[in-house]
Amino acid sequence: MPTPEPLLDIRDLSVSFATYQGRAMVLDRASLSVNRGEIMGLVGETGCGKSVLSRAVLRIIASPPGRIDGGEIFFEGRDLLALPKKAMRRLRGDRISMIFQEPMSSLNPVFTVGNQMREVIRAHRDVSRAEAEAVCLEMLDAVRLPEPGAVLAAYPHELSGGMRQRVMIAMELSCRPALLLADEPTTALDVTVQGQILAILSELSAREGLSILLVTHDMGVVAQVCRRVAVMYAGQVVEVADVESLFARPAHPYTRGLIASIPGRADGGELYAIPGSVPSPINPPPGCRFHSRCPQAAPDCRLAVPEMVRVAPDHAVACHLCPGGGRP
Amino acid sequence: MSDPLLLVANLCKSFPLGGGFFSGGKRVLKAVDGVDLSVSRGETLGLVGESGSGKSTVGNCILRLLDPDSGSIAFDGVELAELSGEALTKARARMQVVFQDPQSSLDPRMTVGGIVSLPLRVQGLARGRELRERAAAALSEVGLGPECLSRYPHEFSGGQRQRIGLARALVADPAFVVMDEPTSALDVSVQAQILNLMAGLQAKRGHAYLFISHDLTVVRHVSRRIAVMYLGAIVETAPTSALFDSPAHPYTRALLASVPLPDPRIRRNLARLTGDVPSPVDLPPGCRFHPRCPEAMAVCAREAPPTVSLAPGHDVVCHLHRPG
Amino acid sequence: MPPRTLHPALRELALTLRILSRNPSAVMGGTIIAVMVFLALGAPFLAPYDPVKLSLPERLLAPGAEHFFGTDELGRDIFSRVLYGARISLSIGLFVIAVAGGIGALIGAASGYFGGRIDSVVMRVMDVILSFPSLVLALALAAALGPSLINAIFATAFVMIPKFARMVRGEALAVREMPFVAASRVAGAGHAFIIRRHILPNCLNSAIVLATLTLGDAILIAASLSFIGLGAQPPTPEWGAMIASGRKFLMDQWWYATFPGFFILVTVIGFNILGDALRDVLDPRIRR
Repeated sequence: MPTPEPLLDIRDLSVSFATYQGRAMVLDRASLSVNRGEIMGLVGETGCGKSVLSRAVLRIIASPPGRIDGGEIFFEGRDLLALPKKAMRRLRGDRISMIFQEPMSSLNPVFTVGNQMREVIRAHRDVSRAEAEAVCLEMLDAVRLPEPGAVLAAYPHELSGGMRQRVMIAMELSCRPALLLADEPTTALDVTVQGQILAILSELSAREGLSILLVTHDMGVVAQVCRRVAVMYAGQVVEVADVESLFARPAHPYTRGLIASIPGRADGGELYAIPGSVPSPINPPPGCRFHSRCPQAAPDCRLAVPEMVRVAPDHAVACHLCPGGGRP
Repeated sequence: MSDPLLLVANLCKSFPLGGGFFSGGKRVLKAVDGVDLSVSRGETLGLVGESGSGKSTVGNCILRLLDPDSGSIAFDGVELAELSGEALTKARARMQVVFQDPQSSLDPRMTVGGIVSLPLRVQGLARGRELRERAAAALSEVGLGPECLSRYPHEFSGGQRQRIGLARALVADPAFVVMDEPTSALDVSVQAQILNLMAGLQAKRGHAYLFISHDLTVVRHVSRRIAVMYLGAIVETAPTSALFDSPAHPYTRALLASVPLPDPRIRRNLARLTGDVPSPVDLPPGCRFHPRCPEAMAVCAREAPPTVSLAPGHDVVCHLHRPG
Repeated sequence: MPPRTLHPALRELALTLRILSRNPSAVMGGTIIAVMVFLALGAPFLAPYDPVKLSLPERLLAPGAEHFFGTDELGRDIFSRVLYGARISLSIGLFVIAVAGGIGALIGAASGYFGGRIDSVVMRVMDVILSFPSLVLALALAAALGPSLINAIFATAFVMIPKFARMVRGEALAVREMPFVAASRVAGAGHAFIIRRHILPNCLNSAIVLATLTLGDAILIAASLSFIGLGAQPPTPEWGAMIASGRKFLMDQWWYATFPGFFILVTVIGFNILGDALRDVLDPRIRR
């Protein structure tokens, strides 16, 4: 049976930013795809480019100083980067939505929640105020907010962080998009509230067939919620796999280092710490960007950027040592 | 059991909430409401809680950055709660702090050497060349070379800045260091480096740490004992393995259940608690957790729960475990 | 490992200068000020005549080859007097800012750091001073102190203190919440140490912007005081005093009052433009 076409297919995306010290290559031919109805994790540490990638999909990267240097982003068969601005604007909020880490800055403090939610709905659908209100209540119920009427009448600062994030989710999903980009949606929340938000996202994905690209730095979140995962390092996607395969048999040395650094998997004792630090995107090292910190680096690693190679049915990795060569 | 280095008894700290002219009474935020804890020499006590739990306020009171409303803070026999002036300055030589944010915990206008040697300078423990030498020694213990002395914080990465903060805390050879979320702002690989560093230094020098954090996995890794806080009070204290193997308080259990494990084969319901983390302004009567507690009983809404000792070192504040 | 070491203030200065060089207003303001400074410093060499030397036969000559800006009623060369006037005005400006800035910063830093009642009282006092129009208050003070340049300088400085105090106090409120201040307190640092080593150095940026903006004002107020007769006394070639003397001759000998007036105008505009550009450049950059 042929695999269905992915909903989102990013190919060789490159993005750079102009800075006072030079041009920073923030994304370097990054590729990944999200299938329909699945939660795809995008994990990496600070500066790996994961947030830039999600913003690039919606084309909300500030154009100076940012610049899309190449690549294609296929969504439902169309290349988003080639779309005219008006068509892109129609897509945002309607077919593709995004939620951010800090819900306070995504909500306008001088308007009530209800006002903002209705505005989003009526921007994309030709409905009356009463109909929009009904959709709002339905969505607030879907995110399990008690007393939805009171929430609609409230101002953002009157709600707690967890409630605001739920309002954001409700707002972004009110037009039933096919894809939700979630950029570190629970990083700023307490762990018990995080659990609730992740449960809501899982439920919505399972029930409505919503695809989610979940950007996070937390491997625990990835393990609990995602079906497939992409690992990024220094602007490149280094490994893509289904979640069990990634944790059971991590192929890229960076992924392995990352998993080994998580406390709590070992019990006391010394943690494995990847030596060194992330290279600056302004003058990236030649060849594989991880080679200076890699415990298995070979002389060849400095020469060429490795290509993504399939090592198992749903597991690809960009490492010179992996297919055949080094030990997995 | 050796006599504890730090013994905190019934610590209370409230903040009045401004009401202006038109509000009725004064509303009060009871950030810390009767906290007892102890830290022995050379051990790490983990203090865990979510926002509004009061854990940072406890740390600030112990450090006398805030003045506690009541309660006792006995540090190596000396009562800190009432000290001021010269005596407080002297007591401070043996107690230091590491903060969370690598950006703002180092003065951007001072050299690293100046920053690290500051505790020595202020206490009059060294001067001139000796300041530089001891600062360089502290830096080398955290893995940074002496060339860093004349550099400025902006030239270093987040992880390196936390190391500098650690060096500053250790330069005067304190007996006790309060770590307030020291790795929360760091990436997981950098966090691993810092945690290893802290463990190594503790093994070598024998300091005691109070490790305040919201991250249970980190706290589990570094602490020998853990105290769990909720809304200004400690709800459970236990040795680390006991807390994770047999958590007694319903909040502890819910907290542990919410932590996403990095193992996809064990997927569980992460939403054990409903509702949001409340703020310690209008505390409910009786047990402060009862409105959200899945196992609340009638008595929980009426009476404050007793402290029950389940095992040596394992105390829980809950009606469920009341003997009889 | 990290690149060349540079004191953060110098590094910011280099970065700021680079950005400023691309900002047209900054370049214009900077150029004007640079020219004025050059004229002021070079006055002893550039001035063709002694600014106080009388020459009655040459009184009230129109601008020409011999006297670029003409002469005044006592035959003194106006061009030379204007050049020396630049020295005086710029020195006044610098002195006023130094005094006002120094005192204002200390007051503001202490007030913001201690907070509470001290802060309320001090800021109310500053508000009272600020509620007077600066020129009027300076005038009253200078009149009370007696007509002389030094008194005018102190009067002007006094009037500018609250601006610095308010600005530094605002910054101090932010800096004192920073963890590095808490870390120093835990280490045992006293209030004086913290104000001196932590608060004041971190307020430097905004103080510089304010200094640049108020330099123009300081020069203007001092000139106004001299114009009224309360500041520089004759024969000092201060621009404001020169305008005062030149008023009587405005109809027929337009050059007398016009050139000094023009120089005041250009200098103050120069400082204001540069100050505005600096404010735009420095504020958001600090966030980075």
